[in-house]
Amino acid sequence: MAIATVKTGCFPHLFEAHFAAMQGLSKGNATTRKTALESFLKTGIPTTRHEAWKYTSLRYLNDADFKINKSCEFSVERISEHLIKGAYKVIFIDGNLANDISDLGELETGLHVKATTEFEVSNPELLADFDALNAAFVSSGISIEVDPESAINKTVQILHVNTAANAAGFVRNTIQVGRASKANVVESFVSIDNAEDSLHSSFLSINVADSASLNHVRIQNKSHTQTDVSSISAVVDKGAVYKTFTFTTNGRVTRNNLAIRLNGEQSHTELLGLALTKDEQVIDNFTSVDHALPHATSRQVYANVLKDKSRCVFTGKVNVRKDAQKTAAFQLNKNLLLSSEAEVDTRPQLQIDADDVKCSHGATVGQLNQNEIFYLQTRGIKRDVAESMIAKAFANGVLLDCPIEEARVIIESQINEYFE
Amino acid sequence: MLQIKNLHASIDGTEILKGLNLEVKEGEIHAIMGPNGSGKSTLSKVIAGHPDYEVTSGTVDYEINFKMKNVLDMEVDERAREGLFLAFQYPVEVPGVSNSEFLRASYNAICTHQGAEEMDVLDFDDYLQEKVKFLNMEPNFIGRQLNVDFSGGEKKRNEILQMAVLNPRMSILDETDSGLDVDSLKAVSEGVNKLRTKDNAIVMITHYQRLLSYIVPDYVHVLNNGKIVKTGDKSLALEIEKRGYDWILN
Repeated sequence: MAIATVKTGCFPHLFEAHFAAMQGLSKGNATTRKTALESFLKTGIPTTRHEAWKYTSLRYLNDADFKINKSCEFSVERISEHLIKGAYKVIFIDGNLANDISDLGELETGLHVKATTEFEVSNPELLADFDALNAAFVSSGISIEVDPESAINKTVQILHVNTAANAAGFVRNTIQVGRASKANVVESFVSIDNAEDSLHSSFLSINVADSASLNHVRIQNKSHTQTDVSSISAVVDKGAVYKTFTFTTNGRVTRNNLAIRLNGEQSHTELLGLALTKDEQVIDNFTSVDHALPHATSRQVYANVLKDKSRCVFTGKVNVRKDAQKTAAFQLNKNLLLSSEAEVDTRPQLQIDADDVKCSHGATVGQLNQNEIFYLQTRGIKRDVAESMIAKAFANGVLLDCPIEEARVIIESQINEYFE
Repeated sequence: MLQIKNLHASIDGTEILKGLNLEVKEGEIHAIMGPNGSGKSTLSKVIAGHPDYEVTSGTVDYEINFKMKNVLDMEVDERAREGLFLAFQYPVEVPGVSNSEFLRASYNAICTHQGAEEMDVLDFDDYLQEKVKFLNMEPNFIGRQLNVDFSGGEKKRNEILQMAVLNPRMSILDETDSGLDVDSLKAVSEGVNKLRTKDNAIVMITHYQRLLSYIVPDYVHVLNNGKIVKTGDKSLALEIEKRGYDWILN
């Protein structure tokens, strides 16, 4: 059997060229960066031979020639339609924290947003593909901390903006919500016109402490040449609630890794997603929920609408450990195909090692219901209008559960745009 | 207003309508009765333009701007915009689409077609509330998702609400009485009677005489094996109620 060659693209070269500069950004982690790069070199750019990347090809990255953009020159008016009015803003330009246009420091009582200077990455030798790349290249990040027993009024909006062609950006953030506190965070992943063929990698580590609550919405809407790989690793403690909603549209390839560990009794998480694809776009949601302790609940609904030759991939693992009795876990991936050339690959996976649990999982792939279309047509509504009313209702049905109102409004207008 | 000539239609290669003729004039109410499988519902679907049915010969001429036009050449939505309305035997549930949003889209599609201005959300809401009141319906009806989790009676009443909003010239009511209890039947019938004018016409497809004591027809037709085999006045329905269909069919 021939052993496939590991392809690493431009990254070893890029690392060499920027290593010195990266050292300046963050002291004391040269070894971590080097070890992380070695981990990457072992696995390389993931291919469809990797189980976790079976349906998403990144082959085009082998020939890409990325640059690191250092400039933070940017006028936020260029992305005004993505801004939430009245929210605290943290803006990353091509992976660099734009200090001048971000709200940092101590904000309202109980909330602290700080630029990260030391990146802690545990076990860099165990990382693979983009997690390894991110740890090797990370150039900036922030930490959001909420003190115990603080209900934060205003939403924090993190904007990841791609502005330069061929730029690769690597961001690493943390959110720590203290005991019995509440916070809302929206992340927007956007690009402007001349940022072609860029790559964005972000890693977000979240902890929701006992009895705390975090609502987290991601809005991903980039131009058709962009690659985005985001990873979230969240730990939800006793009695805490973590609700996350991921809306994705456009982009070339968007991959979202979301790993949630329910780490305390009575903890609850909601993982909701809506993807709207067209042309040859690929959106790949890869989730895992780890029920580690008893009496925890999770609810997962990912919906996709596909046009043209686009593709949606869903892999959802739910793991119920031996001690996690009385777990309730629900998982559903539903897909609406608006084109016969679109493709859905869905892998709902459930592993249960406890015996007193309530779990269900499933996936549906369907087309528009012809009887529904006929019914609307008999009331004078043109066929194409009827089709888009029904498909839009499918998308809006998922949006109802989006936990942050301000984000819902933005997403709604992007749904309308998709169906125009 | 509507003239059906020698209509033949089939589904999945099986011929259901085998040379049906029917003429309906303005202001008239016609009832079409017949045993199960005689082709009653097929007739309504073919007139509305359901894609599962294939018309193999015949015409369905309908008066548009004083000219008779074969609706079989028109798209489903085009027929509706010309004032042809089908009240479904089994109204379709459309999850996520609200009743009011749907009705406004429908109403405005018809307005635009007739060269009138579209109604905005607020004006339409008033117009809709007025119709809801007119039909003695619950006001919360219109905020719900289209037919989703409606009871059988509510679905049928919603069809009549649509009829009231769209004000069609030619309505075909397909088994509007089926699955209704007496109170719902009364409510639905009263609604239809209120909508009757000298300028519009109604064809009721029904299995039972019951409906016809609430909405009194000018003509009663018996459909069997894809053809109309007998036509009479309302007394024909009463006779069928007493004697069944056998005496007509044999």
